[in-house]
Amino acid sequence: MRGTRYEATDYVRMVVFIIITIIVIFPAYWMVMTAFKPMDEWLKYPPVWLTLRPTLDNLKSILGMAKGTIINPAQSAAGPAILKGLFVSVTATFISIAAGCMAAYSISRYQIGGNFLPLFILSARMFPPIAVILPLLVMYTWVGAIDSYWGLIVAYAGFTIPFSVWMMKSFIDDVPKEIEEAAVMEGMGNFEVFYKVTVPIIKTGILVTALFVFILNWSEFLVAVTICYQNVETAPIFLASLFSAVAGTLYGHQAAMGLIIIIPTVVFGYLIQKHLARGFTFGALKR
Amino acid sequence: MGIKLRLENLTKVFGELVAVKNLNLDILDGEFICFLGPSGCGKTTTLNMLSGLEEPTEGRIILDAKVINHLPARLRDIGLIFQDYAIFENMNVYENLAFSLRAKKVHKDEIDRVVKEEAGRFQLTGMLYKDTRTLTPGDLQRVAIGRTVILAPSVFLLDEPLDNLDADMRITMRGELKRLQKDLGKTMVYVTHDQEEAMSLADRIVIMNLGELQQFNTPVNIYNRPTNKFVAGFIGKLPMNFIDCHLKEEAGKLILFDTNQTFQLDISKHRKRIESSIPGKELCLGIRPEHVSMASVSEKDSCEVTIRNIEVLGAENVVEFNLKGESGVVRRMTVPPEVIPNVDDRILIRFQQEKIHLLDHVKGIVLI
Repeated sequence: MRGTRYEATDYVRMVVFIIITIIVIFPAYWMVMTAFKPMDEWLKYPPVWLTLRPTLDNLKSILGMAKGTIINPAQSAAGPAILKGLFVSVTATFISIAAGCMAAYSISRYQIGGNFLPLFILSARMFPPIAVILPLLVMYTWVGAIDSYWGLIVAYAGFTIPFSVWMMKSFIDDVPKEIEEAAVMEGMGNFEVFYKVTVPIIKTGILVTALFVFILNWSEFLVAVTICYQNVETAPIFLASLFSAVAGTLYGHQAAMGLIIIIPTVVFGYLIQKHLARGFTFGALKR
Repeated sequence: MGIKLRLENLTKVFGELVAVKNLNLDILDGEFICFLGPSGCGKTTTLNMLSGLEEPTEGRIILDAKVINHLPARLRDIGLIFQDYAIFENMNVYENLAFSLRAKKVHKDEIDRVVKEEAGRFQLTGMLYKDTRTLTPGDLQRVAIGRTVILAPSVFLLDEPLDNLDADMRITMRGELKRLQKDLGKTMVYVTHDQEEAMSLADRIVIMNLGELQQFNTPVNIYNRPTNKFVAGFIGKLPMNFIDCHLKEEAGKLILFDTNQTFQLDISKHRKRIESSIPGKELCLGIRPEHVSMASVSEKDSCEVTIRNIEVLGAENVVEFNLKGESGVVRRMTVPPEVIPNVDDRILIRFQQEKIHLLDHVKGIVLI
């Protein structure tokens, strides 16, 4: 093979690509770097691009492992907030996916609600969340859902179901109806066909949707900060609370917390990587 | 042979569209029936009503003397094979074959025995544990057919099952299907728009157009005795030639002649049929390309034509011609492969008297 020859446009393209990559990567880099910086370097000017004195103090502190530091950043360590946040996000994701999948199936296969219902479901996302939150707060006060797990779970499931429905509808639309008809002919009831034939075929789509919904739930801040006070705490809420009367905003601690918040998403993403790679191109039908 | 499946006044309406109109058929036990027609003729809709995937708007479907209109698909004892195979792609060949048995909660050992036995019949033994995504279309359709055979329905419905296969595979599978039907002795209802497939497979063919039954008969009878202009024009590798003609009485003989008087045919022997059924003197002459032959000398019933085009097909040649004074219409005849006339040549042809059809000009009904 002859050596590849680059043309001028290729170089331009490469430079643009590198610039975009830097812009995208930089915030993440800065977070990781800050997480390992000692306190005096957090806001130093000129900025410390690469710390020469990396420390685990920030991480230890938010994990409640720091002993006798001057700053006691939070009343509690990150552990409970992470577990509570995980519980709420995972449960809400399950509900959102289960409800979304069934709704998507009935919309796709039985045209339930005609043209109106799918758009109506989507319209729940057509205005900014902040517009919904105050009415939600009032309603939650009436029903006593403020600062409760179920309250937050219902809110999260409700906010993400439109995504679940629309994403999974497109996956179900791709499954040829003949496959389901064949299963019916071979002795299955309608619901059986749904969970024994259709669901396994769109498994990839379900996992991708679940990852997406989980990320939305796990990193959600606005709803959580509005309807939760003491009992229920999620990871982003804890992150925002990392503040000290002595030192102001604890940027290092916040960055360390950010690092921890990323972990579940990365792990989940890694686990379904195979499916992500296979992507959205599956189709059960050969033509 | 008793009646297996009876359709009574079967009608299906989608909104404004009448997809199937008053269909009446008796299908015998063990018969191979083909539904044939252009797309949109209602053949697939009929099949879907038989399978239970569509509910008839009117009429009754009777299987083994039992009305099954309202029976759900899975309880009908009917198997359906699809054009697109409807293979469960997330399962391997074995799991696909075992699907219906597992749904019925049959014992594992029994499933294994049946699956392996049927895999042998369909030459799938070597690929039982293969991913279905790696199979060829022919093998995929074998898996689909095998799956339905394992289901052991009393009637098989096949919806253009060979349509996605290439020409070679189609002919192979056609043979396999015919043998399978003989082996199983089960009633099969096969939908296709490929008349060659229908002619070669079917015991009897149902020809439909625009939702209505046109003719229901054996392939030979449909070819030789089409009931109307649609069937006459639809069946046959090349469409039938239709020539507008007039009638006259001459010296006690009944003479048929075309508008430009290029030919005259004595059809006195059909006098009875024609006189009793049509009042006017206008008729349509129908003749298949294979029943037009070249005439050597100017015989009484020969006529002169101009050659417009020649298609050399190897086994035979197709000659397109026009009668005198004609343009814009294509007439066809077939000639032996060694006969290759030139374009624009004028030649003499004759219609084989015993093969001509006469059609009512207005109603399109075939009189003879």
